[in-house]
Amino acid sequence: MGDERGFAGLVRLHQRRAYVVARSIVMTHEDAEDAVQEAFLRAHQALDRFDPGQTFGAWLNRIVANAALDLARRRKVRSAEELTESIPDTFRDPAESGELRRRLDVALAQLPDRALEVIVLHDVEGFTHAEIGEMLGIPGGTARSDLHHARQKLRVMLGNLRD
Amino acid sequence: MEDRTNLRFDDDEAGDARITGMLRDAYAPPAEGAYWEGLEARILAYVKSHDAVVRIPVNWWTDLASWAGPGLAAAALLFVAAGLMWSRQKDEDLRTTYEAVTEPLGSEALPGAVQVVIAPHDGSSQREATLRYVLSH
Repeated sequence: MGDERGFAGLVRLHQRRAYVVARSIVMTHEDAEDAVQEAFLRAHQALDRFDPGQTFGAWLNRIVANAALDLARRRKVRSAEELTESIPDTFRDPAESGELRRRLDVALAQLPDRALEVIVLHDVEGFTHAEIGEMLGIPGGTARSDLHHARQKLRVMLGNLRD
Repeated sequence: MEDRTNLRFDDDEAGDARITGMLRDAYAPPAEGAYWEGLEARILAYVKSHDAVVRIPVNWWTDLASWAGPGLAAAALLFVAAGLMWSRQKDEDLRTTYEAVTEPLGSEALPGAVQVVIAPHDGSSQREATLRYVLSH
């Protein structure tokens, strides 16, 4: 019973960040929810193996990233059309629902998966390169250069799309 | 009002800031508290349903413990039955031994070796046999 209440507290505290991590990796809001749900189950089952020397958040984020990557691998197909259609209207900023948002979706769909993951994790949630590297299983320097290239590509693509 | 569809992205810093802003809008998690309460409940229900399945092998001994009573009773019954059988067999053996000792000997009932021992001693035939053996060697 105490275990249940304690775990509920952890879920409450970390689910939002877990959602952002998952959402940066999977294509849709629904998949992000599924990945978060799966990640919390894995975390619950692996609680005995949690090393108190590290922060729970960092440990959980790695689990979330792995769950999301597993789900993304299963989904595989990633097209601009699907991306545009699959983002639920309820979570769109009405001001962005027009042309600019469509352009962003098209541009994001053309980014390599990892570049997209890195830029979303960095820009949306403010994770550091090292944290992103740890989550995605890549060196922090690679995360940094992925971020740089992703920004460059987006600038070019959004600039081109403007015309 | 600013025309947001006509932003410039070719200037590095300004472009990056705009891209960040757009990404935050696009990927921002839902803000409503009710949404998170719902997700929390969904996660906990999911964990609970799987946890029940996972716990089955972990708590196998609790199931086993519930069988301990009937198991002990069955073992006690078997023990009593085995004791009775052993006791009955022992009585039977004693009776057979007693009868064997007390019954009068009948030649037909005795084994061959015993018959040889109690047979009347025939010294001539034994001597003849010895002689035959000596002569033949």
